[in-house]
Amino acid sequence: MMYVFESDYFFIKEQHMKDMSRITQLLNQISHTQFFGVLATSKDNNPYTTLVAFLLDDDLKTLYFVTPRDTRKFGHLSSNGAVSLLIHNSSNKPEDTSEAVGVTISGKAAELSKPSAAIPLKMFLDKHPQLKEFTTLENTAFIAVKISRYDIVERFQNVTVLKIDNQEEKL
Amino acid sequence: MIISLENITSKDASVVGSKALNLSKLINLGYEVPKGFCITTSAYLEFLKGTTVSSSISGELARRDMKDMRWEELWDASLRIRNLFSVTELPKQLRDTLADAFKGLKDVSLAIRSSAPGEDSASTSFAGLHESFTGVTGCENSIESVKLVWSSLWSDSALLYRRELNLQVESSSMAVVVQEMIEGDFSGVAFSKNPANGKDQIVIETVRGLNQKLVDGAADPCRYIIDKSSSKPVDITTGEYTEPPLSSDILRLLMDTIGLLERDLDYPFDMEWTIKDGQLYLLQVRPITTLTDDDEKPWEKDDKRPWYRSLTLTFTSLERLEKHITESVLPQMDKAASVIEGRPFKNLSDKDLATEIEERRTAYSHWKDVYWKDLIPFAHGVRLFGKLYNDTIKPADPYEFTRLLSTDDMVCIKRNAALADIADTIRRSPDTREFLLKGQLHSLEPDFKKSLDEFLGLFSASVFKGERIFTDTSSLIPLLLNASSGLRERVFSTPIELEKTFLEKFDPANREEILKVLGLARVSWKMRDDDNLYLGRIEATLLDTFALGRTRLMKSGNYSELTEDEVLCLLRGEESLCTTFKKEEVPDDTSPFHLGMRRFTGQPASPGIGSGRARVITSPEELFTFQKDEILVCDAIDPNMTFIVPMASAIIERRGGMLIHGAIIAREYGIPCVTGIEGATTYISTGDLIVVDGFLGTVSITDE
Repeated sequence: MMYVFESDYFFIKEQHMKDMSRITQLLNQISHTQFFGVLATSKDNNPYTTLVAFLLDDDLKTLYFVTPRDTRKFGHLSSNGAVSLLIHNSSNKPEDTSEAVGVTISGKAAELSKPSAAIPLKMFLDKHPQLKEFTTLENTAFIAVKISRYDIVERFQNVTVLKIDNQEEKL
Repeated sequence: MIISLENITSKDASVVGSKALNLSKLINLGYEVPKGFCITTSAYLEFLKGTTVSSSISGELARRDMKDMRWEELWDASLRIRNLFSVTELPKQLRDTLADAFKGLKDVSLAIRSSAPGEDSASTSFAGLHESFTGVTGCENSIESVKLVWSSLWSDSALLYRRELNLQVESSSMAVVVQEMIEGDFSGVAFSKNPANGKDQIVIETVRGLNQKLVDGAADPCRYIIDKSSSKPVDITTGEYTEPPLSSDILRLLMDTIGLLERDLDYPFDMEWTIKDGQLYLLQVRPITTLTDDDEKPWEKDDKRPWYRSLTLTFTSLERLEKHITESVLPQMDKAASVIEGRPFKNLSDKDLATEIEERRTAYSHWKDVYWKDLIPFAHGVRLFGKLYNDTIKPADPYEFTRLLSTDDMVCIKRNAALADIADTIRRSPDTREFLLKGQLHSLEPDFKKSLDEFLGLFSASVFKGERIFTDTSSLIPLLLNASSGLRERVFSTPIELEKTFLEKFDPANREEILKVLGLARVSWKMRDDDNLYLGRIEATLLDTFALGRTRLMKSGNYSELTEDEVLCLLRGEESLCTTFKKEEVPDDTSPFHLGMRRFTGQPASPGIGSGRARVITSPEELFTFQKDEILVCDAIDPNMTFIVPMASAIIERRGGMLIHGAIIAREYGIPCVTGIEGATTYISTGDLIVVDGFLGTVSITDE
């Protein structure tokens, strides 16, 4: 009825919960179906991007990838841990402009020591079994990114932001 | 790409569509069908391939999740797509092929109809989703009609059933049937089974002349209901005729043909037919769309789509509705409001007050039903004119037509003009400003006081979110002071040139008819705002009694918040039946995740780019805190709050649509406006720095 006062507070809370559930599902879905993302690093004001195989933890707080230590991206990471990674589900069609979803994940990267890498590395290899040999090499670093935010772009111009508290400080 | 109807075979089904295939079957079975050909789906696909139309359709459909879109928004999307087809040139080779097909038909009157693959099959009941055009002559007009038939693959009705139809930009297509028009002596539709009750009866409806009058509802047909076993009519309604017009020979011919078709087809069907010089022609035969008839109000059903589809009234039905609304509905609403307003209630006992509330609630509920039944469908007058205007002018902006509908006579425009005058006086008189600031109303000039009373009178029944907006003159003061810092002026002037250009496109002999359509659209446009105010007056009478009941109960008991039902219960002394509402405790948000939005896509409802600080309006008090050049963010602008619009630098609404109040008033004042922003009041906070792009239909929070 028109005269029933709707509680805006509960409406907002409900919409938040609904959207949160949709966004987390969407992130999990993309992270499970996409194998590669574009990693952006920066050193001395020089940005650089590379394609990496990634794993996003199901709790959405950490992102993992591997890299040889003598690469340019590792050089960048060593001096500046701030990174972002673009993952998307576009399929190289004109309709992607409005139908594809792009996710930019931002956070701080650091190499994991062998003991702390054990469990995530196993999950990483479940997703990318072809990299098993590569990860055992002496020169390969296993990198964890503590995620501070997601920027999710859908329907061409709709941008949702999911921020995570104090992740960087815990590193 | 072009196949004559008699050459179509079942292997062509996927490229000629259901209608063409059915017609070819009838021809092969030996029935008489007007001559014609089919433009296959390859022409549609060729058009998409040679232009950028398909990406634009994708973009249009992606603005918002379709399941969140109201029918009005789907209609808007559909209008933009229709305009897109209309203004996009055909690739040369395709144009040549079509021109060649129409070459020999220069002086022939044509029917150009949709024939979508999958439409009209026995397993689906989506008849009438797409457009058809009749009486089309000349190559250019024919090609234009073909484009509009193509665009109707994306009609509002088709978009409503998008999931069921599996409507996809990359896989859906449309064929077109072109036939010679037969100027019949009699025409009509016939059903092999009574569609109203499923009985084994033949139903025949007929009009003199062309069938289109019947399909459009422009004529009141004669209807025969014939018992199949005895072949005798069991009921005849003569409609606009004094005598049933069909001779017994014609009736016999129709019944025999229906008998033959029943043998040839394996499903109950309806057929459109016409008779000329004793020869029966079949125009279309398709499975019957089952009609159900129950008591539930169509606008309250879970699946409201059939109700939405019923809103696309024809000009003739709208004309009838206008007469009913202006001569009966509005005067009766006015009378009902006056009668209720005249009933004193302040000294009633609690029990009698409860009875009075019940009566007012019943009255309001009745008028709300009338509002849904008669006034909402009347709004279609605007849309009908929009299509006519766009087909005629092909404007770059598909909403240019609204400029022809604008009128000074709308209540909200009158209010805003009155507010502008008052604000101007305050700006020019420091004394008046000072008196208002100090709340010394008794010191104001008598003339100024009078203008305030008159302004308040214009708002006497204004309600926003269940509360009266203004209670007395002092409640006006914050608004007046804010308004005195300057208001925008309307940018619309009477578009004489635009109207002239539009009318000149028509044959002088038809202009009177066109002026009637324009007149009806103008009434419909004005009514979109004013009808709410009529209903609002009745709602206000109900709210006053609730407010009194609530005040009494709050004083006597320890209630912090009471719903309407609780007020009624407690006034009646039935405390035990009352389950008082307790606000649920919501635990503090301890999750490390925080969701927000920084950019939204909606509908570009009024062009321009505006930026500034947001003011989110969720209660009447917030209306008065609105400052000049802020961006108005709200769930939906209702006609009772449009007075703050001239202070805004841009408008954002959660509710979507191009023809909703907010969009209309924003265009009147040249203020950028974006509607259909799903999280507007959830994710935008008062004070956020915002950019509103009314060209693209986007909103950005720039200081997150």
